[in-house]
Amino acid sequence: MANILSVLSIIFIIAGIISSLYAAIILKHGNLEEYIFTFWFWLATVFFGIQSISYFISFRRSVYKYPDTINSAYLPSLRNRVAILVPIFNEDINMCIDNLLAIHTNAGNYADIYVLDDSNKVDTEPIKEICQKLNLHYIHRNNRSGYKAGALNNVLRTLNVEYVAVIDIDQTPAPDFVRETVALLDSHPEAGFVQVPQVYANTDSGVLPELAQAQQFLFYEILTEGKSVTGSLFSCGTNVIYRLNALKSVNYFDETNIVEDIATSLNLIARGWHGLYYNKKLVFGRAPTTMQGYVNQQSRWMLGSLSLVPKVFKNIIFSKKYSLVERIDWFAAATWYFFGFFYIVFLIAPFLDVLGIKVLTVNSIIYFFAWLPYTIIVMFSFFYSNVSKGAPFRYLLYNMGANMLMFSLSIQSVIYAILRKKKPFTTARTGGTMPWRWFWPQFTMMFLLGFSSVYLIIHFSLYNAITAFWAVFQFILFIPVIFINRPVKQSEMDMPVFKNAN
Amino acid sequence: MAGNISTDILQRIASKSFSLDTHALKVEANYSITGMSGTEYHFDYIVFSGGEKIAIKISSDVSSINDIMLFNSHCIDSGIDKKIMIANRELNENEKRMCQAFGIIIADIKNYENDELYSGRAKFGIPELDAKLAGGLRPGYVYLISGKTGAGKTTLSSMFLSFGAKNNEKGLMVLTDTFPDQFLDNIRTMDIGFGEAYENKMIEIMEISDQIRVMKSEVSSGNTDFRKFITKIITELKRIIITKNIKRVVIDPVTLLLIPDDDYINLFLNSLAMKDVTVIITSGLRTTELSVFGMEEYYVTGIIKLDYVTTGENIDRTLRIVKMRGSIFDSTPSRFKITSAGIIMDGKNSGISSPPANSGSSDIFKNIGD
Repeated sequence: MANILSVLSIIFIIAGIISSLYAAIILKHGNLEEYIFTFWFWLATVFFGIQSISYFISFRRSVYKYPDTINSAYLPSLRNRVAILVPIFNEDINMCIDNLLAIHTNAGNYADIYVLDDSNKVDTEPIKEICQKLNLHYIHRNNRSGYKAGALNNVLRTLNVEYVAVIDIDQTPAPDFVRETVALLDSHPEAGFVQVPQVYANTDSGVLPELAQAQQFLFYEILTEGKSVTGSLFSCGTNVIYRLNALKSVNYFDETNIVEDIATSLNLIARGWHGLYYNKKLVFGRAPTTMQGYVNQQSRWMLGSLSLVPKVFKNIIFSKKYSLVERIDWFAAATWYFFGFFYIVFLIAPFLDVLGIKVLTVNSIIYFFAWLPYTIIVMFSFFYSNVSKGAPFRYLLYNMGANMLMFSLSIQSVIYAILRKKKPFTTARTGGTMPWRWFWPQFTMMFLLGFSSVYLIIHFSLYNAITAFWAVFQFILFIPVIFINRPVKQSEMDMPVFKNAN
Repeated sequence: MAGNISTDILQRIASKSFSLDTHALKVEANYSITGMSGTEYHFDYIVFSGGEKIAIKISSDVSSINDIMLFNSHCIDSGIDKKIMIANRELNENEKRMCQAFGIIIADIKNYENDELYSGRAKFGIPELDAKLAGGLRPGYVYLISGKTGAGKTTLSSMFLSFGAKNNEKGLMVLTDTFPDQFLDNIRTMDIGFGEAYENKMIEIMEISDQIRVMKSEVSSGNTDFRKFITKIITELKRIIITKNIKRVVIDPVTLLLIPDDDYINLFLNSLAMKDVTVIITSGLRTTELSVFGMEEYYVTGIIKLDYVTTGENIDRTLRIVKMRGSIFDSTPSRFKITSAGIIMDGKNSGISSPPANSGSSDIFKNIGD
């Protein structure tokens, strides 16, 4: 089933791209605006087409090939073989203490733990104290040269172990994280690193954490499994364990880029190493619980990934060393955060229709033989791929909703990236609700979609009805905006399971 | 002087001096023997090995040839020919020569105290049981006390905690199926020092919240990965252990924290282990003779099985060490009683000779309880 759907989807994506190009060029359009919007619409079709092709290739590989790449390894002896690096930068002290305790208790039996504290705005004494008490190595730098990569490299150069794990301070490893991942590295000498999924354990606390987990699900259950098979997996900065020799071969972490994880992965790939994705829930983290935190996180990921676009094009896409699938994978990953520019044309299309600007006029042959099956098959395959991997139905809506929420931030980030404008570093664990005015693009779109659908239904025609349908559909996807920007309740993960007798 | 040296060290000294089996030795402190002359002699320690006695003298702080001569003559009159002098200090040449002449073996206590294999073991404070365990449980591992209801699991594990508390090792009692108030009321009826240790904050008592039941049902229904549950429980438990500097932990019973799945139980029990901390879990019996789910016994380092049979009005209780990885142990079953002073073990069992009638085991217990 996965095979048939993936292949069909890819065929119809290509059919959709070709037919809409045909429609855009050959079929008559009235005026310049229509040509411009139609061409824009076509570009969006190409953009999401490539993203979807990469997605379905990944899905197919994740179902048929990925399970064979993870062999059952013997659990190894771990003495003096692993170091765990925990970077900290101006974090909440109580959270740091709690999680250092957790990292120590769950991984400290098997590994030396290094706490790399670059904080310059908070009192670091309590962290120093807990490190002393738990016998963790504490390293404080007064300058932030090389940022996170600099802090990691500072210690890496002094280490003499086989493997080095990086765990962010907001992540809690399961007691068998080190053991399981080392077993895999032992049995895969060609692997430069093993990445395990980021799992948000606090999804019970509200819509926002659940939406964030839905996004993680798509990435960690489908895309990364496929990338792991293809060889285009990149490490995600935390919940990852590296072979120190691999890092040495690329002169450790790439300090020239703020997304040191992906940049270093690219360097590793260039040196012939590849990453292995181990889809086992071995580390538990917390999703952002405030809209501000979520926006900070998304914005950081967007700017980081966008800043890597030139490197990805130079190293991978323009290089003949890599297969077509690898190049599609990297292209899709590197360019994903441009999505806002393409989403917007879908969002405004119904309103343009109201204004009399017909975006993508197709004839009924194209519509019924290419465009309609394209839409249905891709939507159904997307639905099937998620559900077959165990996603609840609402995750699909959340994923589409997340794109609606973030389309404006994506546009802003692309502009920032082009202008090389820097944003101050902020973490996903801070802030509160966003001012409602921040959502003006979303509310504007909701208004336009709502108005257009009513208008188009009143002025009924088959074409208008179809457009109105999509307008209503997109309007529904915006609805989480109303629920997402509010305080969440406490997660069961943060409620004590043991309580004192008195 | 007598009473300062632990039973397991004395056993090891005796065992090494005369090539005897450590766990077949029984130690009595301040023991009196009436000699052939009719005089009553007090010995620092007498170690019983089958029908044979070994006399142990602790050297005095100042050089005393007379003490050695007296010890030797007391032994001769009492018909004891196996004699050990435990030296707290470097003996002088005369003392050494005299010991040699009388056939008294000199044992340097430092050699035994620094013996890594045996030092630092977590004792129950029940000499017979500690002896069976070659000195106690090795910290850093997880042990199972199993037995049907009423077998004495809670009493034995509570004694483990209160003995630790007396020796300045903080304990944590995690109650999963009783209310702490009820538990405290019950345990206070026994003179084992638990209540006092709790009031002095040397023992913490914790109960589990409903949260655990909620999470467990989520895992059982397949909605949550079991690692999340284990990570949550282990992290929180260990946080308590570290912040309160706890050395002994009892989870009584462990069943409510478990899910009947081998992978789960394996990971859970392995994860409970912590350097320098001794963890005891208790379990009733349902599936096998050792546990509720029939899996727990495979993933612990050691097992003590408690059992009883009722004959008429009598309850005949037995304790048996079933497994103890990385340690020698005596697997012969011992009988025991649960009294107001807690568990009192009977010396009578195969492999261990009973002490003479004038030294009741309740007396031994009194020393411990002091």
